[in-house]
Amino acid sequence: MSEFINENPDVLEESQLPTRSKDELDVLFENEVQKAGLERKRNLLKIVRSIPSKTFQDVEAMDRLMTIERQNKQVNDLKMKALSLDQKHEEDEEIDPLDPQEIYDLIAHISDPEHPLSLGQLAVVNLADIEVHENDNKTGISEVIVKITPTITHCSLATLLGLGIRVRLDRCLPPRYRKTILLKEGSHQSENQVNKQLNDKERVAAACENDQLLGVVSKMLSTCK
Amino acid sequence: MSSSKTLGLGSAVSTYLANSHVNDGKANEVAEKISSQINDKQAKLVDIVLLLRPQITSTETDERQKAVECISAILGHLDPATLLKNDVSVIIDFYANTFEDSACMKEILQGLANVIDMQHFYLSQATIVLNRLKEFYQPANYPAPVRYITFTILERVLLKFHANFQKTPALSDLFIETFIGIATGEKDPRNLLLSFRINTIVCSSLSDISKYKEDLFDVLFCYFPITFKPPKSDPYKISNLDLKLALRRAISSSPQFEEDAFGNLIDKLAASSLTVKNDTILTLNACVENYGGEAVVRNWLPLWNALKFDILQGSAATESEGSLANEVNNYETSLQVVAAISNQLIQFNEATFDKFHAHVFDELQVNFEQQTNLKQSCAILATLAGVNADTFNKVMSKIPKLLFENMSNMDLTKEKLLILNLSFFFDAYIKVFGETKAAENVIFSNNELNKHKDEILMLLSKSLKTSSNAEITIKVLALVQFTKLIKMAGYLDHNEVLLIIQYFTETAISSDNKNIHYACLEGLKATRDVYETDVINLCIGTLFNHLFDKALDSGLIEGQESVPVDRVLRLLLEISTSKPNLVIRTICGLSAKLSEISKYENLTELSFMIVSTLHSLISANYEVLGENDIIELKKAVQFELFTSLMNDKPLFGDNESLELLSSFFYFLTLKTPLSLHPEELRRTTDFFLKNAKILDTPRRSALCFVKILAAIDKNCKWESDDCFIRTVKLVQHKALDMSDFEKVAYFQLITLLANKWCSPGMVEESMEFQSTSYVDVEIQFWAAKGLVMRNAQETKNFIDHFLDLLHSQTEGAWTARLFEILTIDLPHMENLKNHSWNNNVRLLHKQKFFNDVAPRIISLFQSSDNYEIKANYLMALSLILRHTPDKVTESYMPELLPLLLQAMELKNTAVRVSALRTVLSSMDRSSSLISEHVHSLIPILLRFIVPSICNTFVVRSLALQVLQALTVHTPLNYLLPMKDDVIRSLSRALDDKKRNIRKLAIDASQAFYELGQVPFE
Repeated sequence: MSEFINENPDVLEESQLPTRSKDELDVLFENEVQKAGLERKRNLLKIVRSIPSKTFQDVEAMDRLMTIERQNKQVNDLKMKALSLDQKHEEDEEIDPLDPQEIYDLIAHISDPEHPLSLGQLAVVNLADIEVHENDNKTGISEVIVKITPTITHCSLATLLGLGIRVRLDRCLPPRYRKTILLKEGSHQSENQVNKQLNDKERVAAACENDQLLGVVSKMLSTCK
Repeated sequence: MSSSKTLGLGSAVSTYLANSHVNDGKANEVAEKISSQINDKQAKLVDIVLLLRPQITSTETDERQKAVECISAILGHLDPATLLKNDVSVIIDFYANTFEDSACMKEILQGLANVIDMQHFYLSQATIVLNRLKEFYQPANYPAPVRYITFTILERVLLKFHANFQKTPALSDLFIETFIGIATGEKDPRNLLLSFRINTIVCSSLSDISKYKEDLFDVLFCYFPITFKPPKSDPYKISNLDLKLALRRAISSSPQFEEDAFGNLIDKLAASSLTVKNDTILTLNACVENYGGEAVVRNWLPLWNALKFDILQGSAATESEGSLANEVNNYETSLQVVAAISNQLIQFNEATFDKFHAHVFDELQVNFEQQTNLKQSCAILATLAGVNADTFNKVMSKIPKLLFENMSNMDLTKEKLLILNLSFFFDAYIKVFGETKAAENVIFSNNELNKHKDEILMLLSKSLKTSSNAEITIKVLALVQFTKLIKMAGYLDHNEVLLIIQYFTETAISSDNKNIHYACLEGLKATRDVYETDVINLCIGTLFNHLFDKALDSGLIEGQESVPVDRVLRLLLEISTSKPNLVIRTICGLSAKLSEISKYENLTELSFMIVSTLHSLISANYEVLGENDIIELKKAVQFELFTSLMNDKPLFGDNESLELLSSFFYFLTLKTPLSLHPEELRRTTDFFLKNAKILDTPRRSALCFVKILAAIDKNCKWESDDCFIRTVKLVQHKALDMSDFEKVAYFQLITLLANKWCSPGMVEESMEFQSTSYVDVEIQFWAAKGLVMRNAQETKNFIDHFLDLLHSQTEGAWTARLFEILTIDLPHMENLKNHSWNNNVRLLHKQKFFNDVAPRIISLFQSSDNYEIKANYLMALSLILRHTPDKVTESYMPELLPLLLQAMELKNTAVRVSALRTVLSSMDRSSSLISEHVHSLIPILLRFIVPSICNTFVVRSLALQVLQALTVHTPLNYLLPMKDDVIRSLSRALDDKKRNIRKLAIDASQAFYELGQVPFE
């Protein structure tokens, strides 16, 4: 072993971890805004910045009145029963694809079993070491590969780290994804054994039957956001 | 006569003895009665003593106790002037003689404590008492309440004979000896508080205590650091902090403690507990402040040596976490002590400060050379500097040389560090010379920092200008320091201020980084508070120039430097906020701009953006604008803007722009002086009704009419019935020709008139209740809305009618949807603070409406057996709920919840959303209720997380939030059986199209995974 890859990592501040540049306009969705005139509201928000501002509320109220009027007219015109008519424009939602950042957000905040720091802060997981292979056919198998870098090459807790990540991913990703967790090449003395252990379904399942071990894993996961 | 008195007295005394130890309240009452007799000279204390003689001399402890207690209690109620010299001396003798009777000690002490307050209690008697206490009283033999009385006696004696003690050393010695005897070994917190207090008075005011200073100190310091956890039902409400403060005050009360205190406290600094350390540092601080300069001269060296370790080592850790309010920050407190030392020294003698300064500087200089602990070193030196102008100049004469030494070849990291370190000295400057208050042109030239102004300005502008755009941190740092420079009183001259304003403005315009944006904004806000005119001319001016250059030719975004218009507008908005002059100036500029561009149809979007900025400016600031401001504004912009609004298609034809600009006029009218309102009303009605003829044919401008009317004083006389009836007629006849926008505008006019000017009776009469045509019913709803808001009685007839309609197979479905109108909020009919005269909207109208209607709908729902009709009721109820505050609905939850669950089955998004929202918001208040329904609720929720036409984003997200909330609010035994099912079903949502839904699903399923798991650790 000439050189350890992640020995004495620079501990990153929580705020320094890579994050998704948050689209401020996500709030529009969270606030149940009608899609009509969405572009308008985007522009408006760029200026007034906050949903509770009077200006935005004013536009919202007008929008709602118009919607009531429009719906009612449709209901009335068609002499229809109280059926859903206001949904037309909300059917076509854009798809947010699963990307490495999303996986990273899932696992970067898992805390290290022996430090008060998270795996992201210790650079045990890195955004660059996460791959997502999406299968366009939703019934087929897609794959997520995460490569972890233990802080020392003989890290005895590598399997525990891997188990934590595995449990987190198993719980958070739909079953159609195959999750593969590997040690980064050259980062551990017994790379092959650990890799084998981490991706052995039976052994993972057995580990999760162990209440004490599950307790430790839950504690690691408790810091997830 | 006197015998009967004695007889009465005798029975009173017997009553006392009978009640004592049995019913103390009653006993006390009797004592009070006897005392008042003595006060009135109807009886004598001696008689009572005589009456009690058999008991006093009894061999029964209990009897003796009661008898002495009786006398003591009577004394406690006596007027201080009642007892004559003789009486007091008899009483004292009495107590002195019984003093050896330890069984009655409590009663005796209580009596003594009471006697001290008597007018004729003299020094000689005090000496007797003190001697007795000193010789015969063993504190360890008595419980805490008894010991408390001795402390009270001491305190009273001390306060009463304070002056005598100062004159007669022998007496003061006696007192101190007695006190030390009593205070030693005390443990009770209440007694300690008193003990510390007496100690403080003794040390700070008795002249000669040097003989006893060690004993007095020991009696204090043996408790340090004091910790005390109050028991749950502590009757005295003594907190740990009370004790700490009392002890600290006592220790720091006298310079005589100097030798002992500093040495011992410095030893305690080695403690490992952070709180103990903090207590020690704070006590040191108090000592330094109170012992005076001379003591500090002798001790600064050991103090500094002990403190510097904490400052130099401890800061980094405590600073990043220590921002929490409760956490102790020893770094900051240690610095405070350093400041206190410097202050004492400079006050005492300049030379000693110089010595201290030289010592500190020499020690820290190494850090500057080796670049270690720079931050802490600067903080220390800045603390020294921050004491007063003298120390500032002394310190600053040496610092800049160190800092600017190798400025020429600096990399970014060093530059950052330098700026950070400078900032300590800026803070010190502000501490010494104060903050800039007004734009006066006084420069405090006789300070050392002034000499380096050029270097500082150069450094900061270099960091701001030349570093690449990616270097956010250093730019923000530079901006923050510029802000500080602006705040430093008498530092910058006017040109320099102008330069900095320019920096702020240019940086804000050219950067899209959030942090930089806020840093600039903070800077500009700090600047505008002092240099308002300069900010208006320079900053606002520059921003307008950008707007003028860009907009006309290139439409929205592109310009040579590609500064987005929204950024400029946002800056204008944020800089002006809450400053009337800036608001007016910006509104004028923008409206001039608007009337220019609103002629061009391809600039509709830009017009809209300017309109929304105008609206934000006035709606966010209307409270700070005064009447004169408004008059000025109206003069400047009203005509021009109104003309543009009525004529230019980009404004007039655009729904949002028309709404917002009309709303702008609403605020403008609202703030117009009330005396001008009749004229406003006349002008408005003339224009809209006579010129624009909005009641003859449908017009979009009706909305503008509504908004302005809404702002006008409701007390203005106006025959509005005609207007109301014509509006109703117009809608009835022209409904088909109207656009939705126009219809909504006229409907709002109906609501407004019904609320403000028309009599409810007239409104009711002009409705055609027999007609069930859609338009007529819609009109009725909008008119009813106006009445609901004013809590008019006539509302009831409308509601009856609507509920009838709900029951109908043909009209019920669409009537149900109209119920939303009744509770939806209209922005121009809000209750604004201090503006109660513009509408008849009652504060609690929604509550009243809900209380009236909800029970009726619920019972109608229950009595109906037709599924479709039931659906109508549910729909109506959910739509009402949608705009009703949770507080109002709370008490209805038991009846509402089953309905809501059924409502969720309806295939309608709005209904689902409002049902889910109600459940979610009542989760913590009605958790037990919801728990009962959890078996029907969870399957519904699990169906809602599957995307479908009705399960929109909002429905899915609310359903997931409710699921997660259930894990917190519902008992385990309800949820555990469903745990696996829920987790399995949630995997569907884990694969949702939207990322936010996936996130919520992850959180919800994690919560279910952890259900019932044995807690770790």
